[in-house]
Amino acid sequence: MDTGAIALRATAAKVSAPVPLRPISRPKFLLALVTLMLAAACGGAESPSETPVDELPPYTAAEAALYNDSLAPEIFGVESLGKPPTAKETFADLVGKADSVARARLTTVTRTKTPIDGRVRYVLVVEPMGETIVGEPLSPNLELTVGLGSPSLSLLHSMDAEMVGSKFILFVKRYRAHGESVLHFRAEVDSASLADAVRKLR
Amino acid sequence: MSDSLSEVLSQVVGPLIAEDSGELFVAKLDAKEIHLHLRGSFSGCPGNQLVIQHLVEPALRRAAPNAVITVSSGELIPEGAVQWTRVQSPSAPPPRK
Repeated sequence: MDTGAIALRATAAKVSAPVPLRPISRPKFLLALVTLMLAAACGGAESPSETPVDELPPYTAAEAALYNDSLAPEIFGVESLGKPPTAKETFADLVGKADSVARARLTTVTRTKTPIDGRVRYVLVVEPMGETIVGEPLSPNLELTVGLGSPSLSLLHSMDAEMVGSKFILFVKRYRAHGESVLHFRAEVDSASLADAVRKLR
Repeated sequence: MSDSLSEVLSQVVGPLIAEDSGELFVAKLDAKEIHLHLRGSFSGCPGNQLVIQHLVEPALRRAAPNAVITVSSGELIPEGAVQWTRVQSPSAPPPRK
């Protein structure tokens, strides 16, 4: 017996079970049905940023290689010996998985140092600039956390507030981590060619 | 607000920031948590991270050894922050709140 038949039989059994709706009059039942359908339709219209945490992808090692909470060294004025972003094998993945890719400007740098281990963490506040390149619009005053694992931590440590006013192209994606929605990002040097390459991939 | 922390801000941190035409805001100041915000020309000055990391933080750490120290710089002033120093002439005393 195939599973389809089992599913059909189960459905038939449910239909033939005692009907709890019998006491409700037909017009009331139809009204309730329409209300439920409308509610379901409205619920399905939520934006990606409101995606329930359970539906967000987990932040795996592979994802962390794409969205590693870092800024390209060139944004700090440091010459990079690596490939340009569009030539990297991971570029298509970075673009394809992004919730949003947009130009952004760094407005505030916050540096926090804990007393015991002296660990430093940065929170960068960015404001979106112009139209979103792809995906949903970035929220204003978006906070990006640069933690211990970020390759940009040492550069930020040396440049710190000097970075305020920097402009870049920001790739952001939300993930599920410890039952919460966490935003991860990658920032690349702003260029028309990069923006074009992003648009072509989406 | 701790007296020793206020003293550090008035005598060390505030004058340093003001000297460089910066503005200092204090969002939180107690033995457990210190949050300063810098605005004005100091916030984007190439040398300011040296001043923050090697002068301001150690001075605050001396007054509050167990505090988590946060220093933010830029346009967005943290909610509830009080302006401690503003751009001023060198002869004017730093305003106190």
